[in-house]
Amino acid sequence: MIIDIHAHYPFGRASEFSENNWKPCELVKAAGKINIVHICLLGDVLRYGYYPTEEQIRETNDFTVDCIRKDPGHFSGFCFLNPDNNPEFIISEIDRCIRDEKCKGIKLEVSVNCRSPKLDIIMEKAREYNCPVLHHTWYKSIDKTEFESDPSDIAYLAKRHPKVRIIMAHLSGCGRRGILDVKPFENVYVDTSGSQAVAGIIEYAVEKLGAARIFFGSDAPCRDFYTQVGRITGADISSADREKILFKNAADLLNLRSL
Amino acid sequence: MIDVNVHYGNWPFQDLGFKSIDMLQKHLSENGITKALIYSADAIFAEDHSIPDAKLAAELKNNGSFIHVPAVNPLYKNWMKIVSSSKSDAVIVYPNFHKYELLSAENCEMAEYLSGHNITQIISLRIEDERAQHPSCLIPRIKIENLIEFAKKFPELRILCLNAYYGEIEALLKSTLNISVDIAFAEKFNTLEKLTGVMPADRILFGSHTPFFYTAANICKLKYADISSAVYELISEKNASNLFSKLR
Repeated sequence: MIIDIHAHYPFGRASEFSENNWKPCELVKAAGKINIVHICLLGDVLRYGYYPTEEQIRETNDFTVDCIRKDPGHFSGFCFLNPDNNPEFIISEIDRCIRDEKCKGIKLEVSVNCRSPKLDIIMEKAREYNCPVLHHTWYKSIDKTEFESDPSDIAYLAKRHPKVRIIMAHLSGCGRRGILDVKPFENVYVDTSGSQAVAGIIEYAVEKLGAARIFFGSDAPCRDFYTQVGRITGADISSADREKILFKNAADLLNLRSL
Repeated sequence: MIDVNVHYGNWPFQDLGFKSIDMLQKHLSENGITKALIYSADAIFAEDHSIPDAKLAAELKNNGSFIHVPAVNPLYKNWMKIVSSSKSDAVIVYPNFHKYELLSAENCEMAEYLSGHNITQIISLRIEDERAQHPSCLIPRIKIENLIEFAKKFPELRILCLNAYYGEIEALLKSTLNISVDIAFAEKFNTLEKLTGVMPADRILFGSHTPFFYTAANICKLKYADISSAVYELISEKNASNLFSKLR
């Protein structure tokens, strides 16, 4: 069995989906073919560009919450935020999603670099709720967006908030340098989602961080479930480590041991 | 299964593992790959690429499963000698690494020759995701519109494009009938189901980009795809053996 810590839902506005046209079921069907039994939805994070408004954040989270309500067996969700929004809105949205709607974590993208003090209220709420913060991260030689965070930024955030678990997204995008950046910070984990299936990176992450700090993620539907799983099954690691990465770590994090 | 996208050798930005051909062959075999086109990774940056290619060709001399395909650079005067002495019916080019345009006079002269002698030109669009390149070694993208124009200029030339992204693949396959592609870099939700839903499968070939990528990644991309057995056979084997006589 596999749990996917990093997925989004098929493209489209929430208002376009009716009972007969509920596209998240496409994710479940495709995922099931390779034994992905549970998917963590992070929201359509680029639907409204890099700097979504409060209304757009709310709409994105509404759809995530709707998916969780309709199919809690297959979906968990994270609360997507833009740290540049009004702090009162941010706090109320976290309360709504985490406390009221049982989302299991917070998702941050590229609106604000994670070194910004604007993240402080988010990190403090994450600590209050004991929930992880999953942050888009990448070391890019080209095409970097204005405030995009890289692993050195995540290391800075981790040092400032040692009691908050941070999931650094996109292992291949972060590379070996990124792994070394976050290695000293036990509160930083990585997910394997996205980018190309570059050989050797999984083994390197297991060697440097330990398998307990690695989560399988696909970045579907931007990426292909099967290719993303193949990079884990093709890695030269022990079966115990493979199971941690593909299932156990996420089962513990999301309290899904009953699966 | 036939894999049209395998390199062997060294790369300055990644440990490629596989210290011997035997190791590489064993690994591919364990993944169900029985035949492969093999290119020299060392040839990409070597000033005289014929040296690492000659070494690889010698290692593969009696290997019935691996077909060595030499690199050529039309800016070098030795390209015709390499083509004529090669045992494969193909050559591979790396235009963005070797700093020439596909529509340059030199490459056009070579294309004319290849076309007239029934030799496939394999064009490697990239080796790495451009975003992940070492910041001191940024290799520019090949412009797809130039590639399409080149293919149309030589309609009798068989072209195989390696490592195209999904969007590039759609553009390439729609443009002319003499372009084939491999699947190594193509990825979106339900990749092959989507691709074969909009394109005929007869010019889509299995390529794993081993050892740069985990072989299993592209194996799974094909294995779990919601496609018919006929399409699976085309992509996994038949298209490659149709394009390359040495793989039959």
